[in-house]
Amino acid sequence: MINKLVLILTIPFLTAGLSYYVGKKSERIRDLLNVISTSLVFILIIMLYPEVSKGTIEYSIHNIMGTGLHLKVDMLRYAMLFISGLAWFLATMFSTQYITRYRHRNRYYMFFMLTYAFTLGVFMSDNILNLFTFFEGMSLASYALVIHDEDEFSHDAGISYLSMALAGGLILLMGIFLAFDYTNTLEISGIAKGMENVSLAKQYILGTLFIIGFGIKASMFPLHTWLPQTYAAAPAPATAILSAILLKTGLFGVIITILEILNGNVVMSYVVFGIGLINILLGGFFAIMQRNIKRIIAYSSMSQTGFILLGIGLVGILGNHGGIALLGTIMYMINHAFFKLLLFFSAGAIYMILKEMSLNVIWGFGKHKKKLKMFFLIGVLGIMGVPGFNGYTSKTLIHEAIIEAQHLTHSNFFNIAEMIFYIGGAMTVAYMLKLFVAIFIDENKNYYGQYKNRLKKRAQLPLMILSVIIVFIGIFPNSIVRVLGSSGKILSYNIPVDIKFFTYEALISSVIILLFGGFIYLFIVRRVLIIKKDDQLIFLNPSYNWFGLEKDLYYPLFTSAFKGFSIFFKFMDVLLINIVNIIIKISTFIGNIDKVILPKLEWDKMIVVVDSKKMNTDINGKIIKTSTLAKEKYISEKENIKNKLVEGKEKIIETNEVKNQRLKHIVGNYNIKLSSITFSVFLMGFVIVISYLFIFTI
Amino acid sequence: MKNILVILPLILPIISAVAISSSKIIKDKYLKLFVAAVVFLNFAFIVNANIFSDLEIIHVITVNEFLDIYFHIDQLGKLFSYMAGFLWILTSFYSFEYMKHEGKERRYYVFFILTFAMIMGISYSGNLFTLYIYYELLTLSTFPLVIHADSKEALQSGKKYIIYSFVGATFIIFGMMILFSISGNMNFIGGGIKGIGEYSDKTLLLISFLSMFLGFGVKAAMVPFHSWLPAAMVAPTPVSALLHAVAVVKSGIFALTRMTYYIYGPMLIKELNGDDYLIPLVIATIVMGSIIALHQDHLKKRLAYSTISQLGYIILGILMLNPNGLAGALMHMINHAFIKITLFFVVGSITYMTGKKYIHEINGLGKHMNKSFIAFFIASVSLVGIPPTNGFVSKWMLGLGAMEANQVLYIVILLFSAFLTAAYLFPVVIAGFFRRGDDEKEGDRKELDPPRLMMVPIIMLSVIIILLGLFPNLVINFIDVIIVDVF
Repeated sequence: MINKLVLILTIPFLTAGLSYYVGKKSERIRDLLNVISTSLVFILIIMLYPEVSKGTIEYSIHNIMGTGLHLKVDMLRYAMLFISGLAWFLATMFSTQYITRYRHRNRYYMFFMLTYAFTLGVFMSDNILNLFTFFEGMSLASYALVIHDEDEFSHDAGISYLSMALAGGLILLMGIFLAFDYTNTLEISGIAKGMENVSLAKQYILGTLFIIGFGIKASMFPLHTWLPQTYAAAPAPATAILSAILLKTGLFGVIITILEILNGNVVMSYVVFGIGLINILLGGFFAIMQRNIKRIIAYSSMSQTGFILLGIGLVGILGNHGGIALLGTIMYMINHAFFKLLLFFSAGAIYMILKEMSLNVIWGFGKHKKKLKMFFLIGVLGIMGVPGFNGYTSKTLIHEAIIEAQHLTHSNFFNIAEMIFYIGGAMTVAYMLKLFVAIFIDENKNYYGQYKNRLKKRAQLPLMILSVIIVFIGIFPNSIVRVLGSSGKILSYNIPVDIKFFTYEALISSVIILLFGGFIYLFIVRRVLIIKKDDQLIFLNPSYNWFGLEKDLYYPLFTSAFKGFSIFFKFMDVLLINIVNIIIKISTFIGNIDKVILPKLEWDKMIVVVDSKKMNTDINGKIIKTSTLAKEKYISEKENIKNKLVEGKEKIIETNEVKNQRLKHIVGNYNIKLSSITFSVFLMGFVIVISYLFIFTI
Repeated sequence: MKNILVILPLILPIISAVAISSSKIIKDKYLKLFVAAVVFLNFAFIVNANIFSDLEIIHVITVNEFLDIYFHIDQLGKLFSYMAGFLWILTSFYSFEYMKHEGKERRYYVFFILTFAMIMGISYSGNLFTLYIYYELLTLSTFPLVIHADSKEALQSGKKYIIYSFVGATFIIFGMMILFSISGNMNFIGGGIKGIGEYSDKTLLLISFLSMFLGFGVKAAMVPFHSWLPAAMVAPTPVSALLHAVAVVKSGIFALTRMTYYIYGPMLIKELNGDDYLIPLVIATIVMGSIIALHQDHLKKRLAYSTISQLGYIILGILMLNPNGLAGALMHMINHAFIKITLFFVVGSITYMTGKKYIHEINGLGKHMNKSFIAFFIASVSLVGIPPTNGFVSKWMLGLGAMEANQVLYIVILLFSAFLTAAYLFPVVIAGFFRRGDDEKEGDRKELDPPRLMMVPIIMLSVIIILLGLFPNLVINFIDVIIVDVF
């Protein structure tokens, strides 16, 4: 019996390779294969649950990759595995419909499954080096998904994505080096134990490196710059995966770093908390500005990441009382995955029909599309945090954790944080309303009919499943809490069970957020960002020319640094040659010797000697007669001399000329083939003799 | 009798090179067969010599203390000879196909085989003097390979190569003179020659060390003695591959290791602070190689500068003067050999099949040369140092060495350069696979992967790259013997 964990890891790998070759033969079998294998993996993941609920599962294979492969699944990891399994299953199903009109379908499936395999690896590995391996593999594999369209835009996005991902990976590796140096182990649990004896400064350095490394994937400010364009460039199912799961690998890494490796270090927790606040505000703000559906949802991901980061920070800040915050974080990650999948799938469905993402074109498209409208609405209500939908549950938990932190520390900081939490929630409501109203409420005469033939039933199935899940979690949140809390503890934090979600305070705060959000939408978005002109809606994006971190800071910074380095090193590159040239020139000047005498002679001869037999043609196919070559050389030399004569340096040149002639004469007379090899041997012999003399006379 | 068996890998290539040089002895149609037989046979001899040597010392000529040519097979020599022997086989098969369009095959094989003998001499030599002689002979025997095209550019590059090499030789001689006057003995002994540390004039020791290091550093393409290497790119691709992977640059590395750990010894160098003078140069080498590589549009030139940077890693590992650093350096010597030879082979097959030499020309080519480009991708991932490939293993060891030396800066440099490595290698893969060619239509797929003789070595090498990444213990265990011997 092969271990289940290994099976879960290997099936996607095998499918990746298989689907490429099967796809060449038959597309239908390939699609079927992908759906079956993702569902198989998902079933395996579900079957893991009884074991996980009892305690952590571990499995290791030695003698691979130098350090061995060490897999581990506890409740946190299981939750991640579960959402990846479900997300991939649905995304594959959606892909079979979505990707049919794209090029390179086989390639798409291959990399889709490879990304899956690596992602599962990230969530399962306990050895930090394994984790790094899978993390890098995931970045590389998902790159192929990002640039799937192969146009200029997606290539730009791809370069941004790949370079950020690689840089993040290398910074992570740096952290791993330090961690290994401090603790002498690569097991995450081992590092966590070893960290207790390490000085605080070192802990901060290590934590910073890890958080930067993971934070790039998690789109933490200011490392989020790759996110909007990448999401906009990739095909919809890939974007859904990027947002729903790959983002979570980064967040998972941050959780591991803060809560496991650093044992909930308070300072680092505050840092993460602070970044979370920035993320919420910035992401929300830019999401309101955008007019491309995918970009709106992308910035929304950034904003939602902020909420999750708040949760992670709160766990560390609350310490032993962090159970509720951790639960909220995990719930948030799960919920976010579900509604983001739903939203991106719906956006993908629109794109399938219209091939367009800009609100300026697609506004009013969904007015009469009842089913799509319903699905999208569920996603929107989920992300807004309306009671009865899943977003509400996790937001409530995080909010509760903030209040608890405020009680615990009596710091005004948390009052401000709570304010930002409200504002962030309201922004979410605003941009989602903007999106929903624009597409599904406003009336556009260009669009009528249902386009049923373009969107098959099978493409709707994933949407339906997701909608059901979202509503189910929204109504019965405790079912999830019970599942997560079944093992009692996650990462040494006690998980509370049977939480009252629908309390008076929670409902009130939710209503406040909704009202505030509606207010922003009505009085800011509708007034400033949308213009009505002859029955047409025009959406503005004033942020388009604003200061962008990537385009106005990183890019110029890196290019100028690169240019500076290049100039310096180009100089280094030719340093020696230049020095030698200068020395030769000086010595020529002083000694009045023609430096070219020897080499010129030698190389002319060389060409004659080597070429005489075999090389009758040069590269261009011209036939060269050796004698003419020599003659040409001679003539050009003479011309040179003539030119120099004109310049008025007759005497010196003449003497040089005489010297030249004499030397040629001597060489000719003694018939020495002064080819390079013989010359070198001669030189070597000379050097050896000289050194002998040295040694024996010393 | 046993001695002769041991010394066979040194002699056989020379005899066969002489035989090949005459078209009367080896007829044209048997040429490739003969070459194949020689490389295989010689590999067998290498295995034989390495297994049955029993650490013997084989004197060839002993005139006096100084002029003493002898061979002595130890673990380091075995490592190097195995690597060279194996890669020589692959390269010769690759050449059988590739050299068809370069012409002048006979001349090529003469020097190709001759160089083999020189490399064996380098790896088996028992003292510095023997090493030095073979080292110079190596320069001479590779020179005709570099200028193979006989074009003006080739000759110019050849000249550069020769001049640089002999400048290096001068430095080596200078250092050797001082060393011999101090120690009176230049035999390789693990951990350094005994008694050399007791010499009172440390400055003289330091001068000899630095001079020799720079001298051997020429072949290892250390800044500022590197520019022969990109220039030598005019050579036919198998030659460049070999030059980069084993023959020339790695013999430089080998000599540096020998000199640092078997003549002076790490303890003495630490005492002299010899590494402090060289590290800036090495760091410059690493960063410079990577950055200049980014500017190159010519594929082979890009790889050449990449080699410079990677050799910098190895030299850095040697200069870390601790077990992990040396292990990393030796690992990277092996791994880089496999990686670089793969990269060159692929570039060579691109040129061979399509005549394209520049990166801007290869858009969309990966769809037609699927296997080659996958091999290129694997090799570049490995060179960047992403697990599970062998490049990561050596980078890991080097990183541990840096931690042991308490130099976080080294790791930063390594990782920075790794990022640049990705920046100059991945665009090739991306252009090949993901960019659309100028006149490309869907379904329009030509089979442009090179013929089997070229393809099989490439595939074998990329499999080895991954296998060595998954199971690095094989090499690590081999190297551990060296480490124990030296420290």
